[in-house]
Formats: sequence, structure tokens, C-alpha cells
Amino acid sequence: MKNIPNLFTLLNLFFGCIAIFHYHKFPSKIFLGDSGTLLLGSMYAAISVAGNSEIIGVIALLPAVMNSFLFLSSVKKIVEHRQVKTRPVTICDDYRLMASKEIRAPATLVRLILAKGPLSEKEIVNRILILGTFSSLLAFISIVIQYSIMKGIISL
Amino acid sequence: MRMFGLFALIFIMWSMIMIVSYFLIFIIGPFHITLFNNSTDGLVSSVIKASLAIGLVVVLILLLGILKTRYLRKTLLKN
Repeated sequence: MKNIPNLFTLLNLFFGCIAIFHYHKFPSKIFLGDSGTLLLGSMYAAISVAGNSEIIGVIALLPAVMNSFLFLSSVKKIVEHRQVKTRPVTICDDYRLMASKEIRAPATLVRLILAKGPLSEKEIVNRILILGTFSSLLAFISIVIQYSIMKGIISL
Repeated sequence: MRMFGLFALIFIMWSMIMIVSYFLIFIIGPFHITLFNNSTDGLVSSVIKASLAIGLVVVLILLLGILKTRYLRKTLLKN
């Protein structure tokens, strides 16, 4: 019963995300910006902490965590995107995106996706969605493992 | 097959997070040290546990950094 408030907050987030996805899927009609992404992120983090499932929350968001980690570990400081001199991706003549060959360019998830050749924006979006689905599957496996340990089905 | 490397990278990251979580919960969590047989023992154990936990997380971040560099060298700079 103590998780009922979490459930209602989660439902707010879930249905809000469905509405955002409707307008934000490729080709996007809206731009969330900092206020939208920070609100979504803080709500997601608050629900994870309140529901005692921080690790599961991190695993479900692994592509986003990986993107931030890659950027921070390659730039080695917290900077605004406009302060980064070398762009991680460049635009080809046919409007497809290509990974930058510059060694000093920051490593991002999109740069890794484009590492094996240029792709269109739609193909990149689809690949990010596939990675998100894969990490959600891993989060679900983690929940099953956690539940099995708690119920004594698996003993360590 | 184009996405195999990224799937592998995410899977390895997940495995590392699970292993570190296992160590933190099942090995470092129940760890208790008895030195003076009084209330100070709890504090000492707590400090040791916190240090080990922070150390493990630092090792995890370093390993992830090495993994990222190797993956970048293997795919991005080769192609």
C-alpha cells in the first residue's frame, strides 16, 4: 500500500510521456528543451528513489546514461554544448549524418551509432529506440533477478 | 549486425553494474568489524563500508572509461 502514491505519480509520467511521444516522434513537431527534459528526468529519478529501485532505473536508461558518460569522459569537464568546438557528427551532401573523424571530437551515443557509416536521422532515431528497448529488457531481467533473490527462489 | 557492438557494450555495462550491486549488497552490506567491543565498532564498520563502496564505484567508472576508449578505437577510428 505504501507504493500507491508512487504508482499514481508513475501513471502521470507514463501518460505524459505517451502524449510527448505522439508529438515528438520523428519528424518531431515539438522541442522539449531544458525545461521539458529536466522535468522528465527529475520526475523519473524521484520515482526511482521513492520506489527503492534506483539501480533498475539506471539500467532502464542505460543509453542515456551511456551518452552522458561518453560525453563527460571524452570532454573531461561539464560544458555547454555550444562551448564544444569540434562537433561529434557532420552532415553529408545527401543530408545524412556522419561520425566525425576528429580524435578530439566528443564521443556521444549518436557518434557511436554512426561509427560504421552515415545514416539518415530516421534511421538513427530507430536505432536509439532499439537500444532503449534492449536496456528496458535488461531492466526487466534485473527486476526478475531481484524478485527471485527476495523470495528465496535464487540463493546467493 | 551493425548494432552488435553497441548491444555488447550495453550488455557489458549491465553485467558490471549487476556485479558491483551484488558486491555492495551481499558482501559489503553485512560486513561488520569488531575492534573495541563498544559503540565505536559500528562507526568504524560504517566508515570502512562507505570507503569500499566509493572505491568500487570509482573502479566501475574507470573500467567503463577503459571499455569506452577501446570500443571507440576499435570501431570509430578504424572505419
